[in-house]
Amino acid sequence: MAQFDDSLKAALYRITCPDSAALGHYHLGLLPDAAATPIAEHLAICPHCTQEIAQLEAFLVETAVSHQPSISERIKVWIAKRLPTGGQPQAGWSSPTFAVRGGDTGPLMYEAGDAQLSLEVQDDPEHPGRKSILGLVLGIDTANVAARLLQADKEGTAVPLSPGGNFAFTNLAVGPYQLIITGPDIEIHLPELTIA
Amino acid sequence: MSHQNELGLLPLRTLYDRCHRESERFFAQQDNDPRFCYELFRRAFVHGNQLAWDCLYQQYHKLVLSWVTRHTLYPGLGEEADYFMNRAFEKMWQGIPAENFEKFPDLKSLLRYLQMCTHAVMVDFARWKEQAHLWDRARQLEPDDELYDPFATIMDPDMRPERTVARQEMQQILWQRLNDLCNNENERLAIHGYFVLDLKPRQIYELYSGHFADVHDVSRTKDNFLARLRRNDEFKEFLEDA
Repeated sequence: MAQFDDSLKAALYRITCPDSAALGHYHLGLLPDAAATPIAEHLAICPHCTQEIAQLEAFLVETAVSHQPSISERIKVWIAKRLPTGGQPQAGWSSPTFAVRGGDTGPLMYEAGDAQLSLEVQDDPEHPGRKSILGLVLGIDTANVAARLLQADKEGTAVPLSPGGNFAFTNLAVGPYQLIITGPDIEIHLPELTIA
Repeated sequence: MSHQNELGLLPLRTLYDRCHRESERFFAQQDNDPRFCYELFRRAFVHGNQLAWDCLYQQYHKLVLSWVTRHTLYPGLGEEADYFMNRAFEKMWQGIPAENFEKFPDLKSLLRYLQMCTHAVMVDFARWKEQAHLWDRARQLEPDDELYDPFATIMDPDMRPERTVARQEMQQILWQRLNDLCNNENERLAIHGYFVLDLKPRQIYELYSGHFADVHDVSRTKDNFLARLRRNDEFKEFLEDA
């Protein structure tokens, strides 16, 4: 007889309780009213679920990750887009991927927010078989702005922009790069720059 | 184009590096930018980008592990922290369909959801352990008598809480059958309080004040129902078939 009671209790224990994720969604206010109302009614009679909600609340407080908006969220992040001759963005550009070959192209022009960027790839006269990039950034305050060239997973060297917005990288192997120009309140990405 | 949309054009590797760097700055209590990590979440959930999800796992698994070990339930659960950490990521992955991502406007709300998932998987495990304990107790009373142990065959002690759907379906059938056998609302309240919520008669009386004359009335109602249940041939057949 006692086993009958206990087996039933084991079989039915908390069978009407919402699952833990439903309780969590309820607590975070993610449920529509139609789904939240039955849970609220259940909580009025279920000490177990009430306790689990209290545990969740304490856990969220204990482990709170406070990502308050910070100063750097005001930094503008721009992706550079290549401009054709004449200075207007190319229609239909879905990706900023392009390749530049030293010696057989003129300067490549890009637009990134308020900034204009010019890149010229040349053979590096001091390092036979290697390339160099001469860059110019206009349209932004270049004080405390640096250009960084990254290849694959390697952290590249940053070079400061001159007061006129010039920068240069030398002794470069061919291959894919990323160019990032960072300043106190801007960040310009040229994500896929292939030097061929 | 908004800044967040601009981030959508960044390569995944750059996003991950920036997310990692900004997170380090955050935990060093330095000025930081959460938009790169948020963009990783957006690609994972809205675009179903598995690589973005891998990056998020890489970025946050240690943080989730630390949450697990700080949870008040953890010391009593007897399971590795890695197990709960992996279940938490799974629960989050299953819990946010692409069309619901807009409910999470910032990184803080997404991490809060991941915290909720961490708590939920630990609660699932705790519930499972409590129920396993009730089964053990029932079997210890009369270990040779399985006549009234209707779910003994499907109560696999090794079955993990994430694999209990079939058992829950059987339990729902049993609960519905018992409800059908109740003669009135008081019987329903008494057996719900006693068997489902595992409450003492006094707690049931206090919970449903106005329904029962006194505490003994709760016990009497429950005992009458059980006596009738034991004499019910249809219910016996149901148990044997189960």
